Amino acid sequence: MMKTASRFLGHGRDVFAIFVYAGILILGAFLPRWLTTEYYLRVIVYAMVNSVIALGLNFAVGVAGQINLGQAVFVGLGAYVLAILTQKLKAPWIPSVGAALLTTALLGTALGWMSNRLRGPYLAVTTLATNLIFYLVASHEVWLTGGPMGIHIPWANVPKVFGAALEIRNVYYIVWGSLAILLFLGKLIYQSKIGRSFRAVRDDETVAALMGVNVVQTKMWACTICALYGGIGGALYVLTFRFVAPSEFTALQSFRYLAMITIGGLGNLNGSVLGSFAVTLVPEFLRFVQGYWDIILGVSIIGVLLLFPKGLGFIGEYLSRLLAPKKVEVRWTGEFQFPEAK
Amino acid sequence: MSAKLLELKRVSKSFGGVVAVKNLDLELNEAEMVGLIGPNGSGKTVTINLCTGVYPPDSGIITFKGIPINGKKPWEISKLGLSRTFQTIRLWNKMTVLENVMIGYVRFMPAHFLEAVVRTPRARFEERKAREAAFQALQLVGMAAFADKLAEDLSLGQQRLVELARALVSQPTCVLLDEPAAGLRGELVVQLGHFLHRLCKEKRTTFLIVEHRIQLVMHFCSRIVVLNYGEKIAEGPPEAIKNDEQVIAAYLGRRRGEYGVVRE
Repeated sequence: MMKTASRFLGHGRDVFAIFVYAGILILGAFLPRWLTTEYYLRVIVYAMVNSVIALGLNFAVGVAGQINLGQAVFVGLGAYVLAILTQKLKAPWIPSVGAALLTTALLGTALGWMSNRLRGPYLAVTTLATNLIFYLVASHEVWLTGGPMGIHIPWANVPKVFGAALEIRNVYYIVWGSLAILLFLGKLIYQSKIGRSFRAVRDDETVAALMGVNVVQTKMWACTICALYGGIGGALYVLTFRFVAPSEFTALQSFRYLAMITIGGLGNLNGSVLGSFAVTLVPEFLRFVQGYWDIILGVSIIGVLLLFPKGLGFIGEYLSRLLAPKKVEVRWTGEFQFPEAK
Repeated sequence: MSAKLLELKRVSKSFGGVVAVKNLDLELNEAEMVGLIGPNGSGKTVTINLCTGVYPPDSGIITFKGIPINGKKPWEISKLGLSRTFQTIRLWNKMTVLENVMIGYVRFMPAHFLEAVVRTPRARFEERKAREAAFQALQLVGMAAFADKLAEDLSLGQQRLVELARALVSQPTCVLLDEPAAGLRGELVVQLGHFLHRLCKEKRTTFLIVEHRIQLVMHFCSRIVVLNYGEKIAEGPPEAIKNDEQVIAAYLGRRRGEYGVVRE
């Protein structure tokens, strides 16, 4: 009995997965040395920023089941607060980043409050409306946001980190490190009791509540995490492009984030990164077909989802099902057992 | 012995124009097995839903351990030690059996969300205890060998037992079972009855059993409550219920089988 118990109680470490992660980390560390074109490096940094944002969205939509069609609001809020504080108010960078994240987290909690009152399509439409409002404010309140021209951050105002200017090669490492840490943190959250509660609320809210899960708090946390990741993504976006404009935070962009997590697989964190890279890189490589890339992207999204209905992140699952030998079924004894009877 | 655990006083609930439960008085004492029977749509499940806080009653008072619980959130009621199962199986299909049962243990996991994420010693200890408790609960119902399977891969009867384990893992003082034997094969129903009876006697757990398999209720419950159209039409020991004219007319029927039930 103890043997079977320890088999399920102990954390089984998947050696293969560790090798894959280590390989990707090493690849990521050396990528800037191999990629000589700054353009490609910038595209990859952009994909990583999107990965951070998509990870957050996946927590709300994929893991906790709260549909959010306004992730761009959190990204935009993080980016604008950071840009306004550092450029218009000349505040120092590190407290500004803190303020930006705090603002997005607060808005995320507000979304969590909404998600406790609105459900499914109603929540979706409300978040979409939030996004439309945000876009209007960002493009019309010129005194604050710079209007459609946005806020440009001149080189002189960009901070130096350890004496190094924040050119794209150095920004790469900041973004790459943030993504690695946030992905790892995401996995910790996913496996912890709160992650379990998220999934329980997603699949059957009523039962989760009846079994003792505080549904109100759980949804609040899911939305706050979603917003916080979005805010971090926004701050990284500012560092990467040194430019904020409303056109980057439209409702369409929110749908792009949604496409990323859907292609990657709802509820699959690795998948969000895969999906973000797919949705960000494919259009860049399809620039030679000019206006038609949208069609190709759309068709390939349909194709991917037809082939892998659960998303790219579950490729490992498909493969292991193909390759793994058939498991021997456990025979059920069908006995109620009292511990002392053993 | 006869301390009142769960008490419903003149509780009513209606949905639109349909009166589901009307002026219901119900008492559950400590370490007691009570059967709740009645024809379809007589308000049995609604009674359980009212007790566990799925929706508040229109009028009346529900107390658990002397604490009024109407209007309380379901998780607050669950914290007091009131647990339940469901008529249609409602497990989280995309999670493993062990995870399903572990969620039932959340009542004993007070560590803050952030503690759980950064895995402080307290959170790790809690998590380990939850795993052990869940595993023990699964052993109790004989489902430990399935701990790492997805809930959707199990058969109907096995899922019932997992639900039972999920209800028992929180060490409840009172469990409301909504048709626990539906979908179980014959011999297992008897086993289930003995199992519940033993839990009731040894751990002093109170059970309210809503069941259409009259044998189970007649055999193991010390008291039976009969509902019809949301109203209590009879209450008493199994022998009295079996011969109650009103109950026979409303539910049990004339043609008597072994336990006063219509044979299929």
